[in-house]
Amino acid sequence: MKKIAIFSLLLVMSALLLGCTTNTPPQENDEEKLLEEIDSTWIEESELEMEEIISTESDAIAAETGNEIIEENEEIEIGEMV
Amino acid sequence: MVKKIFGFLLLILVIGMLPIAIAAEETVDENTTRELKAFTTPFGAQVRMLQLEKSITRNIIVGTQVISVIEKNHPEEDLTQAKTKLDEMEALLETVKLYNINDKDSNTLVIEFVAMKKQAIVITQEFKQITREILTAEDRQEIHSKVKDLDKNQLNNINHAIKLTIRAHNSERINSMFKNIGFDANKLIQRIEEGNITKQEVKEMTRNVYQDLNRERKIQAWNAIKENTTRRIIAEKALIQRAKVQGMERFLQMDGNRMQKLNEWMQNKTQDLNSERFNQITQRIQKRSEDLNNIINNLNRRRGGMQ
Repeated sequence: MKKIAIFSLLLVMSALLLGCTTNTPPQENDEEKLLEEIDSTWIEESELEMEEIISTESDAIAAETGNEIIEENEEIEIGEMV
Repeated sequence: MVKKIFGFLLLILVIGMLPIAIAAEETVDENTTRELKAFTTPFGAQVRMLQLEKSITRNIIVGTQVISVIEKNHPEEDLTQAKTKLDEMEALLETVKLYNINDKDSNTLVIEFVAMKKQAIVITQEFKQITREILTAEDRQEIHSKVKDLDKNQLNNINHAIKLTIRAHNSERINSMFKNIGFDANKLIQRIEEGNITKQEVKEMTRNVYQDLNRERKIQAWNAIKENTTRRIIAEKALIQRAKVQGMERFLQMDGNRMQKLNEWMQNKTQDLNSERFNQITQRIQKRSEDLNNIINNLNRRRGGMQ
């Protein structure tokens, strides 16, 4: 019986730990991971020829400009009443 | 004794599983995720709150027409529940309109936005569910013809306020971006504020400006924009994560208080029970139009100051 009780206690502790980690707000480590992720997707100049570099960089900067813009026809969808 | 220990452990297990169950219910859809990204700037937050206000206002006006058509074509139907839902929607609209974004940080704003939007969706679904069985195809046609010009009429002022706030947001963001490139963007900013340029044209112009820079300035601009982009993405990811974790909890809390708020709302409404419902709503929307005019004037004054 003792063994079962200890096993159950371990099970409960695991569940609690899982519950806590699910609701944990973003940590500093997450930012580091994200930085690594961005660095890994960012194209380094040495990987490309000069003409390609200029074209890729300007495309990336143009895309970033697009990301900053909110379009005037955007709507917030909450569903229709009819 | 052993049974008691098991009972206690089972209780702790259930409590321990609760956050997992709540986490599983968290749903911040793709559209909401896109909307949340704007909350990294004050103008962006203002745009989203105005857009939410517009969507709720539209649903109240349409809902009012639904009730009016049912009362006319199906007088035998009991509309108490549907009217209650409309009252809840109006109470939510008041909350959104009175919500002050200036004294709150981005984390609080996204949590509240997700909760308010979710509540608007739930009330809309509940209203639709109640009236669905009553409405005929002819009724729907009649309602659609009555509300087809909403954007040009009742929603005109809020549309204008949203448009100007979006332009203020866009010009601020593009101005900041071009400062990094080291390029005087006054003419471009002016075109954005006047609404004379599309997103695609702005992107094209950015591409051309960058390509014309010399090698040294390209490196400077590239590094500055890379740093800003990284900072922006980190801020957005953190906001989205925060909204996912806490937005739904806030919604459940708000939903719990919904009935209490509704009672307060109903008490306030007893003052004008003698008037017709449609007139009451029209007056409230008229009042809001005046408030929105003030917002528009402030934005215009700000624009004048920048030029």
